[in-house]
Amino acid sequence: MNAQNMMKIGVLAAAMGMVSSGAFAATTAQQDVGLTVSQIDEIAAGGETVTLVVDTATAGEQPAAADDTTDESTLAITTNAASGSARGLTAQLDEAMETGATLTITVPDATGNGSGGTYDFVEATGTTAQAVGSGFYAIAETLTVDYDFEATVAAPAGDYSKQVTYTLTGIE
Amino acid sequence: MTLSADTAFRQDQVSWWRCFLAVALALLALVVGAADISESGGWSETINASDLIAGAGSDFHSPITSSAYQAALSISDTGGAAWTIGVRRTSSSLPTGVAVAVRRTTSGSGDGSVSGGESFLTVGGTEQILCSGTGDRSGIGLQLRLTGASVEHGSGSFSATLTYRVY
Repeated sequence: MNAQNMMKIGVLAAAMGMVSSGAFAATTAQQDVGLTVSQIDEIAAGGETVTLVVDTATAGEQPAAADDTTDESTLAITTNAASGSARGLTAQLDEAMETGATLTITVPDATGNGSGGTYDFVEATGTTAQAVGSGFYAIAETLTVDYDFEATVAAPAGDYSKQVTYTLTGIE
Repeated sequence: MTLSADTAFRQDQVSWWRCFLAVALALLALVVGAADISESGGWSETINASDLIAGAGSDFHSPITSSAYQAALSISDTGGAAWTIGVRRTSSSLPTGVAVAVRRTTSGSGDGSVSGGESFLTVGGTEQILCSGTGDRSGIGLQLRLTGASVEHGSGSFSATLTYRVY
């Protein structure tokens, strides 16, 4: 191959290079689309007041327990936690139960990811938070919480009012 | 013998020049006929608890839409000729089920015209026609949309690259 041919090939290669590199025109343009999803752990208890009344008893037996079959409450949870850092769920009373009284809180399993649990709050529990669920991750659900109330004859007659605080745990 | 060899050499040279000119002309035609496209403005969206449909117990609202004039395309060096803009997704780390779509919201300005692309077009890996037009246009407005974001996808940063091509 002589010098002339080499020059021609060189010119041709340069022209092709200019075209391929867009030296003459950019026929494509790129655009970036970004999505940042924040860590989300939201929980909300239904605002309704659940009323439980123990007012019947059979002679010789403890009073019958009260179930809130008509006054169930809701607990809404949204978390985008990963399975490896699933959230727990605790319930905590604002004040201890009275002597002889028991408040049982039952949280059902989530349809998605999460298991409910049950805990009996008695006087000795005090105001310590207790686990009522675990393994919640990547869900957006509203659960129906069940409340039961028992009062033995040791419990003083009267109206008791408790506020229950639910907390998602395991949030870093 | 010498004369014959010289003739063959000249014929070889002529053939080479013809080939060179043909390729050069073809390249020139490509260059002259190629419009130029440029894009300005990306889109980055952050979603948090305020983007839940109804607070705790609900998922993210969908779609998530950018402003009407989030980005713009400009077409130049058309020489008044007709052109078409294609778009495709060339890379993506978006979670499965999250789709990105784009639509044209303004016609921009310039001597030419623009048509089509006013409805959202879900952008996939295969190039699709976004809109077409004639002549030079600048500031063709684009709006972007994300659908399918869910708490099931977890938290983190995700991205996609859209590539626009004019031809």
